[in-house]
Amino acid sequence: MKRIYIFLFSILFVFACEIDEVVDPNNPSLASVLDNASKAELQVLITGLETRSRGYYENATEMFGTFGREVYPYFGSDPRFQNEWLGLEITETYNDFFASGDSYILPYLAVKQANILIQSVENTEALTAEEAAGYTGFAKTIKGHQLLYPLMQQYQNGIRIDVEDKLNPGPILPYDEALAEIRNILDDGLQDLQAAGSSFDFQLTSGYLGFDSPAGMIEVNRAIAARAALYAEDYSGALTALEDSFMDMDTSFNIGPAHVFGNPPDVSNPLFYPLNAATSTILIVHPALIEDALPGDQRVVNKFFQRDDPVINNNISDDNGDAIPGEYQDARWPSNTTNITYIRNEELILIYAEASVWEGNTQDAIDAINLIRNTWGIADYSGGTSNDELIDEILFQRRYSLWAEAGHRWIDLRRTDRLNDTYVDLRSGGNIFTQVARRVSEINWEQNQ
Amino acid sequence: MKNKLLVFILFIILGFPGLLIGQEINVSGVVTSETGEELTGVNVIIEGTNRGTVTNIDGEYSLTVQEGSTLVFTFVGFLTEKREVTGSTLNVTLTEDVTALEEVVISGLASNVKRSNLANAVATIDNEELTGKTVQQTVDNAMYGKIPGVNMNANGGAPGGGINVQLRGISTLGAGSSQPLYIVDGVYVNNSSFRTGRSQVSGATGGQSSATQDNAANRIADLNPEDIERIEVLKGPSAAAIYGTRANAGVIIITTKKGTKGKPTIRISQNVGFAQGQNFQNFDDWNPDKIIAYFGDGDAGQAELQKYNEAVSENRVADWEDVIYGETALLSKTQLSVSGGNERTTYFVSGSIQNEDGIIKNTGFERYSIRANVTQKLFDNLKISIASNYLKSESDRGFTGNQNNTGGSMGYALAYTPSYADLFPDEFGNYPNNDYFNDNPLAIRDLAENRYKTSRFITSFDLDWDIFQNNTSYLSFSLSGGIDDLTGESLVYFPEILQHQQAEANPGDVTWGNTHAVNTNLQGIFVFGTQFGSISSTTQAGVVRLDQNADFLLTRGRGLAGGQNNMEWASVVSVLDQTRTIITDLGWIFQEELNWEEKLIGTVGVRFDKSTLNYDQDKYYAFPKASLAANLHNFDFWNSSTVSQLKLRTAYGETGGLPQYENTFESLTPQVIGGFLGGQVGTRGVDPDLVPETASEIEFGADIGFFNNQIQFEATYYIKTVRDLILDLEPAESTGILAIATNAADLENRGIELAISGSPYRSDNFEWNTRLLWWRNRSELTDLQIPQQTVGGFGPSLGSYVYAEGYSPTTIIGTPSGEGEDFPAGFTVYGDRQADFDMSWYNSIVFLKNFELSFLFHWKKGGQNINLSSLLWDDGGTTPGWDNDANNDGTPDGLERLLNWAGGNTGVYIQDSDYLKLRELGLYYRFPQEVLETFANGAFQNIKVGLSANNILLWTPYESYDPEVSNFGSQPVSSNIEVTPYPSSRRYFFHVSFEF
Repeated sequence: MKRIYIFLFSILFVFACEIDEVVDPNNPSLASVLDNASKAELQVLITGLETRSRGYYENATEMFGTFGREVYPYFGSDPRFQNEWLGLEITETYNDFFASGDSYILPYLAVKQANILIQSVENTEALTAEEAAGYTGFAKTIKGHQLLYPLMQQYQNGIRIDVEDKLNPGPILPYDEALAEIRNILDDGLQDLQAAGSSFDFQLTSGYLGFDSPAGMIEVNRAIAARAALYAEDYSGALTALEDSFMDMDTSFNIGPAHVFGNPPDVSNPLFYPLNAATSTILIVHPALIEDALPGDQRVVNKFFQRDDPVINNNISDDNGDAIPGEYQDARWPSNTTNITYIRNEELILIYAEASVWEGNTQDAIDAINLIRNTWGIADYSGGTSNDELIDEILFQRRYSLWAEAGHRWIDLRRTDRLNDTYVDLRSGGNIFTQVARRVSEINWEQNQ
Repeated sequence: MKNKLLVFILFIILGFPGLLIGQEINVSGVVTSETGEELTGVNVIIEGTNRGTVTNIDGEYSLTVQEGSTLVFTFVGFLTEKREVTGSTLNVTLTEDVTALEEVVISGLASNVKRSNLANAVATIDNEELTGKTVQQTVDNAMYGKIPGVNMNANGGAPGGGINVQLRGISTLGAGSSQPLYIVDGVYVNNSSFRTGRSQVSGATGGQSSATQDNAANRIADLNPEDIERIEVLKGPSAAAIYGTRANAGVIIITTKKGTKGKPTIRISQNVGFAQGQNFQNFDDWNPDKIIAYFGDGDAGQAELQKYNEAVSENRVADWEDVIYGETALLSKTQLSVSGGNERTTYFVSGSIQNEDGIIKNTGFERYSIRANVTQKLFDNLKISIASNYLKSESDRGFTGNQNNTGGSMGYALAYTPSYADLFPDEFGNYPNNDYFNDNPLAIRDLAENRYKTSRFITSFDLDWDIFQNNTSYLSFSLSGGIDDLTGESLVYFPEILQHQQAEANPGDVTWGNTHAVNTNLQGIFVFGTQFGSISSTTQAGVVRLDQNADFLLTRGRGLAGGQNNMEWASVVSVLDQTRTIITDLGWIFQEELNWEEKLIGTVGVRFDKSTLNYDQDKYYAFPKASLAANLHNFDFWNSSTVSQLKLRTAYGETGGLPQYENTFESLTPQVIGGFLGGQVGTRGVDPDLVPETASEIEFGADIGFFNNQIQFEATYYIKTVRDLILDLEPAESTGILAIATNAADLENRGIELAISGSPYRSDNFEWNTRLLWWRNRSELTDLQIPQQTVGGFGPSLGSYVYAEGYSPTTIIGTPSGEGEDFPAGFTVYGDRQADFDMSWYNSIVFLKNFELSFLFHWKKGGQNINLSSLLWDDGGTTPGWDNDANNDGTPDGLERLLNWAGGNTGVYIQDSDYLKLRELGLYYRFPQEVLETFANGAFQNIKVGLSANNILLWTPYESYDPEVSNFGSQPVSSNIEVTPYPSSRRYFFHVSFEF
């Protein structure tokens, strides 16, 4: 009998004995890259930064674009795309505004990625100081670029810049301070890149072809810095930054670093819609762009495709309640794998023109304007040369040159005090938002402190 | 730990030697029912011992006992009789028990207790009640309205199930499982809802929890309800404490049918029936005036008028609701079982085929089940039982519910499609493009596929060994365990010719999902029973282990070759998800029950659990319990003839809830870009102080029987507090960390459950049994250590739930926003999805001896739903009466509601969800004994025919198909949100069954 007891107890204990610790069987842990990361691990983080950094583009183009009436969201599945984005029944946005997260949260995910990358570089022995500077210079450049989007969305609400500690983030800085901090980050990045030798220790996708060296990345860094300086109304700073950027009056307007898209498992170009697609979900060109275009402007045929059958969305209608047919769709993308250049030579030339106006270099400004006009098949500028008139002309050119490139129109009109119904076509009714209300999580965290 | 347990068990074994043995005599007799039928399988036990026997097929028993001892006769469905042995013959007649006081209820992992001695309100449903009245698709469906304190909510009417079961309110806010633990014959079965990728393919990823818009069924749906002998529902921690760390949402214990000693009984039953969609909305008619009202009288309006006139002249103006949902679905179920046995072996073998169409063409549910339950006595003191079940099910659920920009939902498309739209295919089978939406719903119905198949083995064994036994004590050991091996395959397929696929870069979209999930569990428990004078004691101690391993793979192919859905014929292939899951739990249990002459019954117990789901995987957490029942009517002072039973009871217990898998990992996530593979820093952070949620519950109750227990009243009040609730702390989004699972809240549920049952009238020709249940639950977040937050749904402007101190987590909020205490998380409160109360009324009337009529009403009073179907219908102009103008302001009512909502008033689409349903109705005729004796030479023991129906009547103020609905599937909080679901249906059956 005793033996049987012993036998039974041993059964009991054998099966119940030890349990192996379970670690994530599906993914590498964050801790593994934070502690003495290998070069292969750092490469994975670099590529991760590229993937994270393209997230904002769709929402910024669609939502900021709708705010500035560059585009109409004929997205049939949810009436909020029209009712709320166009402000049909509301005069202001609300906290956690409908479908506004992607131009706020996604850039911050890229910022997080950049911060982790910087931390990993600091905690590894795998790199020389020169190599390390290449990593951090790239990370800071991207970080500076990404932070512009939440700031543009939030505007006078301000944003946080110091976000390294998840439970103890820095304060929400007012617009001007935040913009200054972003410029500092870009300047830091520049310094790192200047100390990074002649080549990067890591690889970037084809989106950075021509910019995938410290020297090339400096040009990208300065291009972004020029945009930030323009926003900060530091026009001499903008001109200085442009000098070291890839701005080139004699080459293609389309030169610039790009977000890469592809077929799955990559992400496809979010702005691509097959031409003439029979759908009730499509981004439509605002009809004012067709009507206001100068005769012969090549940008119209290059960018806008007239559909055989217009799309109808009953929420986008005129004063009489008649639906405004959606006649033109985006024609810029040959396929859903086409890359999107996120800052282009054309924008830099326009920044140059605008900064020149304010710096009193009127002729430089007019030359740059005419370069844009002539390139697209329009005669030289013949209007007035007061600052206001020139700015109007530059904004007009920006409207076509930078159409649907992550929301320039709305930002431009706002920073030049023109965000009103003279410049914004309100044929479909609604209101013009100046900024998007603060995110609930940010408010909560303020109250929590 | 282990050593202590060992010492303890040895102490118990050695500490209580056997006591006196007196003079023995042989006693035998026959046990019969009041109608004179010999009862087989009656337990005959010598009082105060564990010794006894069972009556044979002729109702006979024989036993050696001490002179003067008392025999206790117990049999399921009959009142217990106690008789003193005065001679060698003792015949007994048992009285039928209409109140189920005598049934035996599981009280520990290896012990039972008679219901009359139970200190908890444990609800049970037997086979007759579960499936005897009508045919239900799934087990959870069949429990509806039959248990107080259980709130169920179907996620929609799609074939193949999908039900949210909540026992006594909310026990978790999203950590671990919100669904009860299901244990079938000792097997911890898988009740997951597996992702199918439908929401990715149909684009329904706009919500706060996209993965759950797949409209998948929870896999308890695979079980065949007909095989179930009984279900016990441990509703709260006070009853379920012994299940420890997995029992926060309650435990549902399912026991399948076993064979009984006797010649083989063969039972064949066949059900055939049909189903029809119910509560159609009768979408608005379109006419020239309305077209102008909706589209305006500009070009767009004129173009629509022309289309309308064409449709009228071609005579193809359609009622789309009727076209899509109007199929009459055929239902059938065939069940064959054989059971029997002898002294040493009993068996129950069954097979069943259930085949049900849906009310939408190309949808339906099929299930095949084979079961063999065998019990074999190996030696006099060693018995082994094996229950094994193979199940195969397939559900075609079609495309309803949410979609985003794809048209991949028929219901959604109907909201925007006017009656004159040109949708019917031409003679070559080409479907016209839908001018009003992304796709033609008829093409989606006829060409697209949304299918789930499972193939599943559930097998358990139970080895019972009576190690030693004398007149006063016994020691037994039970080793049991089981395996649930589930293979699932999902297919979501949009052929390339669909309109919305043609609008894609790579037309044709298929997603295949493969799941292989294996649960294994094993437990070893010692039970020691003895007598201390007039107190009997049952002690148990043991160990339990549960392992869950799963592999899940979801792959998607786009750009398909014509008509092909094999992944090799896709031009673009990607892996949407591969997840391996490895989980192990280990628990030690101890329980002591003391019973003083059935007057006072007390229990204490504790379970220590650890799990790899915890942040600290090696730490044990303790879950204690204690309970006391006082049967006042068993005391000598009791002499009321009116009140035949008065039991007061109280119970306390604690259970746990584990963090979700992967919530304790901080990881990188992969993403490809331009041919490079990137590792993205995850958006989830980890809290190193995370511990399991703990629910503690105290329950008070009284059971009162009147007139020899012909009328029985039960009342229970409980307070269930969940502390350390695991919630996602949302750091400032700018930190790039969006969620950290942390112990952040305390929640309280208080509830009342009342039941009155009995047979108000009984005569030879007429017998009426009735039962009225009433229950309510109130939940409140009593402490919240993180900022208030909105949860679930599609954001506040479309209605969502809120976590705020002083509010129930089921509170519905929406725009406009506001400030102050009355605006939790800054939004306006519009309602609560929780009912004020639920009530059900069950009746069974036997008349003319052989007819039985039964029906079950269920009334849910109060509660609100977020009805986004209404919003879409208003937006698309399809709401009934859309262009009425009640206030004569020139704006059509439908548009006015939409504008009111768009102006920041979510309340427009938050609607009352009260309902009264006639859930079950059955009428049966049992052939009388005298007919059976002459018919076919008496070959049949039993022939029964009948008609039944379920869900045939529904009264509700709710403005859609059914107030029971959930776009997000089975959720702890965010159910009752509706987006154009699969309508529910009325079901009618004809039944016939033979037994021979």
